[in-house]
Amino acid sequence: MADYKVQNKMLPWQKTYPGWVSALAMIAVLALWEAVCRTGLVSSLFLPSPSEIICSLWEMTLTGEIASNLAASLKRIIAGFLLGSLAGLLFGLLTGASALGDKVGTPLIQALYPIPKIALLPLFILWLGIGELSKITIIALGVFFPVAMNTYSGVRNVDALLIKVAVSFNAGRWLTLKSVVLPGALPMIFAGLRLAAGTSLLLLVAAEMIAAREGIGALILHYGDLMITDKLMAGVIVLSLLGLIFHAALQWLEKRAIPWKE
Amino acid sequence: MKLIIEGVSKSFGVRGKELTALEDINLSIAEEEFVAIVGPSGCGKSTLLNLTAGLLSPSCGSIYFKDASPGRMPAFGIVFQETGLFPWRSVYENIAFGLEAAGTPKAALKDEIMHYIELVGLSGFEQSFPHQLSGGMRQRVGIARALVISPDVLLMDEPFSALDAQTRTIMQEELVALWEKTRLSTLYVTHNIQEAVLLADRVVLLSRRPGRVSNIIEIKIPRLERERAEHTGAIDEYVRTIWEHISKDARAALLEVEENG
Ligand SMILES: Nc1ncnc2c1ncn2[C@@H]1O[C@H](COP(=O)(O)OP(=O)(O)O)[C@@H](O)[C@H]1O
Ligand SMILES: [Mg+2]
Repeated sequence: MADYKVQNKMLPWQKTYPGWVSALAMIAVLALWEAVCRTGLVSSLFLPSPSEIICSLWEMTLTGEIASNLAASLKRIIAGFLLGSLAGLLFGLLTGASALGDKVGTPLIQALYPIPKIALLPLFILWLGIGELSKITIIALGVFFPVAMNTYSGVRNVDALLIKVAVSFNAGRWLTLKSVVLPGALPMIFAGLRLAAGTSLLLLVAAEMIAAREGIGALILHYGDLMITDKLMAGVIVLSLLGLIFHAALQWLEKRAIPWKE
Repeated sequence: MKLIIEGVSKSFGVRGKELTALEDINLSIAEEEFVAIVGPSGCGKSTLLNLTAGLLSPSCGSIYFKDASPGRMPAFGIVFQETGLFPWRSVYENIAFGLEAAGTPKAALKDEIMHYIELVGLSGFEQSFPHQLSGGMRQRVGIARALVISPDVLLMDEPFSALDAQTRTIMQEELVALWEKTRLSTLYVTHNIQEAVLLADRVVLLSRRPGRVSNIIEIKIPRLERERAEHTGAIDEYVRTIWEHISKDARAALLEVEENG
């Protein structure tokens, strides 16, 4: 006969580490990368070291090369994203909230969604010219689909009880849509916007590699052709930062738009 | 084997502030004893149950089994308030989970599981999914899942509070019958005084914030006779006494704005 002490079995699941562990891991990876380059294990033509990349990035920033290319890219991605998400939102609300819209719009979306959007770029260039409009359109199209589809399922999954409550107060369709359906769908809509952010970056770079003289995508392709890999990687870093900022901005917006979400 | 809760306190850090949920709780559950914990909402009943189950660490004090048989870890069967059934598992598979976790070979499970499915009256629903069941049936699955592992102690956290009053009455009666068959040491959390008086050998009253044991009341009517008409008066008297003890706290709890609710 012995005593048996009850122990907390949840501890392995609740373990936490301080924030500096992530920073340390990041630094370790960079240091390893730097070390591999310094020892000459791989030629710097194939894999430039982090320090070289940072130096090139700094130089390119000073000469204004980054600024001008980034500005061109930003214009395209912002315009495309706004256009595409707005259209997707409206389309999703329409197909989600109206039975006719659903019957007409949903098969259309399902037929068009699987097309890799970049395949349409030649067509858009033919229609809209090689200028900005074709690139913005392709980004908008890529953004449209995830936003429209998520808005649709967000609207469809709004708690039926809440709609009943609104209807019980004789709320009209428009009021119900605006004050019940849209807020209820917002979490899903933001999930769609996050998906779309990734898609828009991908399409931006692809379009710029195919048909642009300015822009981060064009810059990367240019230095790739010249085999100047450190400048190429500097462009990649800019893209990574762009993605991070994009994500943070959406998160900021989501916090403001959905204050009731835990 | 006796379960002992000794000098247990628990505080939570909420946004830099310390919130003491439980303070100096001393309690024991003897073999074949049914102990109910009653207290107003937010007084720390669930916290106490989670501490006992080893799902939370106490800030101080300890919880242990006295005279446990050596070499074997005493097992808890837990029935959660929100049932916590796995939506993707059938009734049968939900009940099987505890045995699977214990490493019982799948082939050996069948008889045991079917026995408990029958015991809680779910025969014919083995292959149903939780969403196809009513609230009462779902909680029966929860009870069978807790019992099937032959626990040493049964812990129940407001298992019937989500049920309608009629279903709840039926489930209470069934629990009494079931308990007489298994006679498991039981710690039963509820905010329903009537329920506590109908089920328990002893009713422990928790005061609110910080939760302390404010009183322990022994129910001296044999459990199986409590539904009988001749005991109605005595039962009502117990309920009234307990309500007097906790009504002040319950009213205060109602007025309070929960900081983290
Ligand atoms: N994980 C937690 N973090 C912070 N506070 C908690 C946590 N769990 C419970 N509490 C607080 O402890 C108190 C008791 O909670 P609980 O045990 O759930 O009460 P009951 O089950 O009696 O309604 C409440 O005030 C609750 O807000
Ligand atoms: Mg509780």
